[in-house]
Amino acid sequence: MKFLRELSSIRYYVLAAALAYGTFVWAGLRGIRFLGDDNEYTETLNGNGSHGSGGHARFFHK
Amino acid sequence: MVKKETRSSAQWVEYMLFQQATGATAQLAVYEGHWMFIQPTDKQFTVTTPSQAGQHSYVDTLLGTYQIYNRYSPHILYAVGEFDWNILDDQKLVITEFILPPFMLVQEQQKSSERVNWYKGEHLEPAQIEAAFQVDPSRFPRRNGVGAIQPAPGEGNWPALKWFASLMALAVVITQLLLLFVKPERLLLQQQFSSQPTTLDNAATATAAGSNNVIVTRSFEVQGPAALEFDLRSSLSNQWVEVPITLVNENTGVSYEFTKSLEYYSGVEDGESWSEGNKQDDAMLAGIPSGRYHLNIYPISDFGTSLLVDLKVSQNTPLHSNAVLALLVLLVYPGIQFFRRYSFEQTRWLNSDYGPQEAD
Repeated sequence: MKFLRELSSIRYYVLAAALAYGTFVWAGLRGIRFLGDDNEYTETLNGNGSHGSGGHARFFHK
Repeated sequence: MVKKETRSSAQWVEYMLFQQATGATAQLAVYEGHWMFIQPTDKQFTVTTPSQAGQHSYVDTLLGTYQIYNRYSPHILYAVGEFDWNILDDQKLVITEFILPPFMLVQEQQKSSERVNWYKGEHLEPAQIEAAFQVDPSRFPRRNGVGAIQPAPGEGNWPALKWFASLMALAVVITQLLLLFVKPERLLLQQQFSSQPTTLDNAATATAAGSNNVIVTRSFEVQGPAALEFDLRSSLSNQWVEVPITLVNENTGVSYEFTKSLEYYSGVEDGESWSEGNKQDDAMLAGIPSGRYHLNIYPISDFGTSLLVDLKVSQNTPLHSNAVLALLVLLVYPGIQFFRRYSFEQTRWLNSDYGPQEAD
């Protein structure tokens, strides 16, 4: 009971911590990175990439 | 009674309380708006004085260790009311205060004798005084600074917060280690390709509009959802290569793409060697669903320069940044509380001759 009473005194932190931990586990299992990834593709296309006119970013060095 | 310390200008007010039913007496003391309720105690306490320089006296009790906070002799400035002892004798006392917020032990000793009396004090909030005596709070002295035994912010729940945050942080570390076993890293593709049109054993080469070179890799199976890591390396020497890569799901046609540029330049100038750029880079695609995939690679380099690029693709790369972020989120609130409490304690001990800053 003392344990629960002590937890209830920080209930909002307990809730936030449980949410943060749950999100961390979910992201780990789904292979999702919180900081984002390198994907530059903004739309889903059927087919194999339509690369020729897809407009890859190009830069040319001196 | 209005009192001050003989060797400083610190002043405080003491109110004597008398309980008719029991004949017991107690004191209310207020200093800089901080209230304290003080009662005599029959217990005797042992003051330990460390022999090492820089360490101060303390009193060990079952509740914890009381640290010395102040030692002084009082001087009475003003008194009104009825007292059943000669209050001027109080000026012959040496008073030592030991604190364990929200409690205080007060040792009173006659300068001319060994007799010691002990009192126990407890911090009171102005609201408690207001409720007990029905006094208009606007008549209370304004609270300044931090009281000697004023509880630090979050005093009530700090122990629970401390152990729960530690427990959650440990859970994140253990979970991160478990994920390495539950979703082990697996190499999906390892291939070398050229930045100019050539024929490689393991790559189909074609020419596409807007690109010199299109390489379609062999297919590989992703057991997702998973994060994929792409590791690109090339032995560059004052050269560059740009590598746009498209990951294509062969079943659904869904594509993911990114571009990485490798460049490395070095030389000697004024007798000093220099270098810039990197021969290696990596990329990550997160949350890739299960399925059969291949890569379309469109490498570009200087005209006429054929550079070999090594590519490794692996799935379930460890997402350590997630664990770091989760730890940061979990520790933000306890961290803020810790620094608030630390700052509070620093301020408290600024009023003492026996604080940590005095030991330095």
